[in-house]
Amino acid sequence: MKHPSFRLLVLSSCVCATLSVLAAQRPRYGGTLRVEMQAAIMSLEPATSTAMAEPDGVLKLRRIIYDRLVGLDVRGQSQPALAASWQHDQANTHWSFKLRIDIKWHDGAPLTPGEVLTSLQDSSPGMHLQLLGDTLAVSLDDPRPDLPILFATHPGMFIRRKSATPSNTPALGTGPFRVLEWRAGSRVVLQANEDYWGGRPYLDNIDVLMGRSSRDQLIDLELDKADLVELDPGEARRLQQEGKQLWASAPIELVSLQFDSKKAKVQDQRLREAIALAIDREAIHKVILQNYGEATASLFPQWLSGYSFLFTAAPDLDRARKRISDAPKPPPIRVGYDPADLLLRQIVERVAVNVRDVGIVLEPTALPRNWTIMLDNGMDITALRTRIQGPTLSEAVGEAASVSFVATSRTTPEEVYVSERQFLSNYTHVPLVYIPELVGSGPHLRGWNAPPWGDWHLDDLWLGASKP
Amino acid sequence: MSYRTKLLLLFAVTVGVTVTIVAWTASITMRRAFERVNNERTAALVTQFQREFTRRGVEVTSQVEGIAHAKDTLRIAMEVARPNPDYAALVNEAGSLASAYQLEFLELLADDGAIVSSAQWPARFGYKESWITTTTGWLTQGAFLRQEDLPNGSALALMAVRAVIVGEKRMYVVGGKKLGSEFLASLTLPEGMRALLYRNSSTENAQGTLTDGAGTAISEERLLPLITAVRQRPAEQAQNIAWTKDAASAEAFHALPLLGPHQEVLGMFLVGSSLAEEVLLARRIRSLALIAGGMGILLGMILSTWAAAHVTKPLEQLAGAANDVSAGLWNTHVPVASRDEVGRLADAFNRMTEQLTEQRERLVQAERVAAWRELARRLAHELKNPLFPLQITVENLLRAREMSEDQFEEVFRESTGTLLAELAKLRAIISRFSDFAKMPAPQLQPVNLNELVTAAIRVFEAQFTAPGKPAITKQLDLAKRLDDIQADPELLQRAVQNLILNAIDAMPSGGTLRLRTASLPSGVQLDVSDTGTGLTREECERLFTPYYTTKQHGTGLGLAIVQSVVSDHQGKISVESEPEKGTTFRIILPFRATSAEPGNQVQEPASEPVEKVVRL
Repeated sequence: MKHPSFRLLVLSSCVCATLSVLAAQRPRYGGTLRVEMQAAIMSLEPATSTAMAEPDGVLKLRRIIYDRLVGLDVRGQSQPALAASWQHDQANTHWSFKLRIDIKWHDGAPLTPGEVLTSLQDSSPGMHLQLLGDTLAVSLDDPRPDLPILFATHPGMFIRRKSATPSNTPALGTGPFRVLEWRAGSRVVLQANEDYWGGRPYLDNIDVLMGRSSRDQLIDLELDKADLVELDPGEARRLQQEGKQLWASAPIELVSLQFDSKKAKVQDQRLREAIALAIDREAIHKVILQNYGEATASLFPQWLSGYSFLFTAAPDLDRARKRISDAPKPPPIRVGYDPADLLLRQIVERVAVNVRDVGIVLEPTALPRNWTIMLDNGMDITALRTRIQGPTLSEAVGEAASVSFVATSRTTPEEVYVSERQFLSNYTHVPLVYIPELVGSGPHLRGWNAPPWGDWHLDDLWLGASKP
Repeated sequence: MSYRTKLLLLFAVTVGVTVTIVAWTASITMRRAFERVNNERTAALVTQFQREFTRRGVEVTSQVEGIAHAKDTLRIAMEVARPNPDYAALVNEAGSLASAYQLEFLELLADDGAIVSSAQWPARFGYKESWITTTTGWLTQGAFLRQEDLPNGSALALMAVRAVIVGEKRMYVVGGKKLGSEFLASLTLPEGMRALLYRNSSTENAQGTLTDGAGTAISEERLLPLITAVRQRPAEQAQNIAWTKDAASAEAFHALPLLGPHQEVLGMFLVGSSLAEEVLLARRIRSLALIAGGMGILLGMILSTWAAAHVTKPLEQLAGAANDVSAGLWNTHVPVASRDEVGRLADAFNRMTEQLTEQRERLVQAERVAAWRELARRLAHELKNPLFPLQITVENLLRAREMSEDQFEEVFRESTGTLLAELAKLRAIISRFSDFAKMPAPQLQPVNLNELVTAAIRVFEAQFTAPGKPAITKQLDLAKRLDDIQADPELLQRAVQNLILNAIDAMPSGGTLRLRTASLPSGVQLDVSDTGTGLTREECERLFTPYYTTKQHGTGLGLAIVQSVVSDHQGKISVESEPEKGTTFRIILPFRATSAEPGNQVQEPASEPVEKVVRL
């Protein structure tokens, strides 16, 4: 028979334990989040030309410094942001966005509707913007039912206060964090916006180190010098073995080979096809990507398009050899890759091994540091990592169209499939694998709730109790 | 060729041949010495290479065994031996192990030869290395040479294979080190030598690569014949390679084949030994030989000049003196400057000329005495003939004083007539001798010899056909075209007439007188031949001596006058005669003669232009 006081002791212990667990899971304010990323961001301003590819990390920073008219939740649904509500006509050509009031810039000045209009005008081609009091009227030439999604995903549609004179510091925003210190390309320190309309973020500060290699990030994470880092798939297993937290997005980054068909060495379509047929994508997926992502011969991942499996990704060496059986032995073909991208280099080297089986010699070659996709880099083939934007196929197609794809965001998935099939039939663009975005963090980081397309919601994070 | 030139040539040839032989011998000796040293140094380097090769092989084998026995390797082997192994988790293991064990090449192969992990070519995971399963015996074998495929080509590697056995399955550990420039750099190279490593291309018919210890790629074009030869016959071979036109750039290369486990030629170890020192030394020897040869020849010239001054000069003086003697200067002397053979020769020459001069003087004296005796005899003979009638006549006159006046008158008249006649003879004799003594200088003018001969013989036409005398047949054989000569026609005609007269006198029983003229390149020729009694050798030799005659009533001045005339015209006269067959006098006259003082032929008989040919 047990003593009643003993029962009370046990009961109180259980209550204390439950309370302590609940306390540990409950968000708490304070602390500095140390983030490292590979991109060396020189400016937070949107690119003015498609030839200037933006680093992936810039969107992650823009998102917490600046606000959009419309936001996205983790399911990809549009949510009110600076626009408190919106409505449209039957034809989806006239939209009106009711602007939120009492919004302040990071310097405390109020955000006016005129400033919203000014900020959006440059990045809204094909739209007629007009202010009607605190309502922004948008007129379109063509129907656009997904206009809120566009406002939520377009990389340039952030509300920022443009400076009259050129400045080395980023433009002011209204987002959850304001820029406390800016060192272009190397470091940015962000501070919580106490007056944020969505509520003060949990973190006091975010310290972002830029231009850190994948290896350095991993080391810093292991040495507890960083709380949040980007990872390559090859490092994920090791991180898991060491008890670190790992988050993987859906496959959102396409690795592909882009042939420069103007180059004599790869002008022959049979050669390009033979290369495409010789590649063992599944081996790349299983070994180099450590089973993350997916092997693909399509431009879009299966989760987004639903038809990716229709494109055969398996190698066919016999067919590849037949395609070039009557062609003269080609000279070595140079394949360029970003020298800072170790994963891309591994994939290219594996492709070179595969292609050697059909008698074609590929020479993996590091591209110059400042190469751009739109300019001739001297390579016969360039290995690319292309990240899809947005939660829907139409958004992804819209982004892809700006580079090479022929479809538009307004075509149906069936039409996209047909266009893609036609686009890939001349083998100037050979998809290889889709890889996810991998993020590793220390054991104290809480609140990670990233959407599948890889967006970071740093304003939702907090640090656990044991973090000093 | 003069003695001096011969001496110079002899010196030059002697010095040249000597220097050439010495230089050649020195070059051969030097080359052999260099070859021997090069061979020894090459052998030492090859031994060093083989020792280092073996040492590294043992080291590689030990390292691979270490990996095979490591716990991590066992863990990997256990993962690989599982029914559905996850190679993705193992793909980077080889790199870590290779780094830990300091191996440049490491591959972990599954039981079927599939690459689980590759340190040197990570992207080759999943590919099968069939050579590991098709051949047995790897596990007990030491290190071996292998052509290892790499992303950017291939490399020669010292490899070893060991296995980790888990249950019934094996996992092969294939590791090794590159055999390249670092390996070469570890060798201690003697000065002037270098070591190269040639690696066959992994693809057929493609060129291999040639590197040195610094990792510098070297063009194999010049070495290709040697490399090809070693490929065809895998054994150590040597060849000299000239890199540029300069022979000093040449190197003596020894190539040692590097064989794989199946005795296939995977590469070559080449040892190059610079021939620069040898070539430079050979050049120096050649230069010295040339300088020595040149100086020797120069010295030879100086010595030959000196020798000529001391040896050939007396000889030349002797030769000159001999020429003078032959030209008639018999009292020529040469200085005697030494007591050697040349000096004795000069002394003998001087004695010879002295004796010749004395003999000549004695001969001249004897001839002069003989001539005077002959003259005296002739004068006595010539004068005796008129004297005897004079004596008789005078005695008749003395006796006639006792006769009657009429008889005396008659005798007186006859006697005075006889006396006058004999005195006239005496005067004639004296006149002839006087004429010979006063031969006039020739007055030169153009004379045609044919015309002169024709005119001369015309005087004797009557004698040829005189009745009661044996007939003499005249035969003129005159040249059709005969250029004029510069001569005195009177003197020349007198000389020709003397010869004709002599010929007539030589044919008392008749015969043929033949006169023949001919044109010569430098003058004209006249032959006067008879078919008379001929002359003896002694007569021929004395024929032109004044006052010598073979005739009963001759004065001995006819032929002397002929000789004097011919001599005054710078001509020559000769005689050919055979007893009982006849005599031919031949006169050769130049086209242009210079005036000369007549008559001292008697005093200088040696200079007489007379040739005497006697056929017996």
